[in-house]
Amino acid sequence: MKVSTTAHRRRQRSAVFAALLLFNLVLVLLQLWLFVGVLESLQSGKSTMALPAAAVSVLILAVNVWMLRGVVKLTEGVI
Amino acid sequence: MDNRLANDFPIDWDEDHFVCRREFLKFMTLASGGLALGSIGLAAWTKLPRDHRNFDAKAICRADAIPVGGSFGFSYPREHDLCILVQSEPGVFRAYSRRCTHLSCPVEWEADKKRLFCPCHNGAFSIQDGSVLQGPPPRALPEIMLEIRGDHIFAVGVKQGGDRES
Repeated sequence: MKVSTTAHRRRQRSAVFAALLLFNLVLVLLQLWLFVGVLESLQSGKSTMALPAAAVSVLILAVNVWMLRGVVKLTEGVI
Repeated sequence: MDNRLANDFPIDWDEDHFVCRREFLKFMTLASGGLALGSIGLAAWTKLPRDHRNFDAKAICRADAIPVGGSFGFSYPREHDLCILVQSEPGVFRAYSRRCTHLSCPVEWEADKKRLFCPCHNGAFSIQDGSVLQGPPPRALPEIMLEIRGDHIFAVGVKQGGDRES
């Protein structure tokens, strides 16, 4: 079956989009896990974990924003 | 109300409003931002200076009102924060929160064993520093800092107990 170039690109974009969504979901779950971990450690009197967890959380946010911008660019003119 | 319900939960599939992938990604990024803000807030909270003596001093009782080996219940810093003051040795006063760090049962002073005992799950704490001697409590009892002013004993602050040494 012959597939047109436009349809092929659209499929590729769709696959990339799905992969990004999955990665985004994993990152947000990781953030949630970190947040709950910090809360639990604070409850047991430990506070050493809070700062590194916040740094990682901000890094994840930056990655997510970067991905969102990428997706917006990727789908410009498609939707 | 009925219109809104009909819009949100339409009978026909074609009338339903599905969230598109880009909207979902935007929502997840927003959630990510919220979690990042929350984490920053927690980190900032841990860095706030905490003076253990920032509570108002409160008179507990006269020093001679407690016999050697005796105890006295009081509340500090708030009315519902139950504490226990013990004179374990002559002239040595120690006070701790009465709330067990396991499941918040009130601990009792056992003069013969020189320990604070939680009858709910057989947890025990040292009278020396509030550390866990036995049982399930995960950390030491918060210590109430004391000062003797004249004839009276005053509670002047709360020192949080450290983690249990495993």
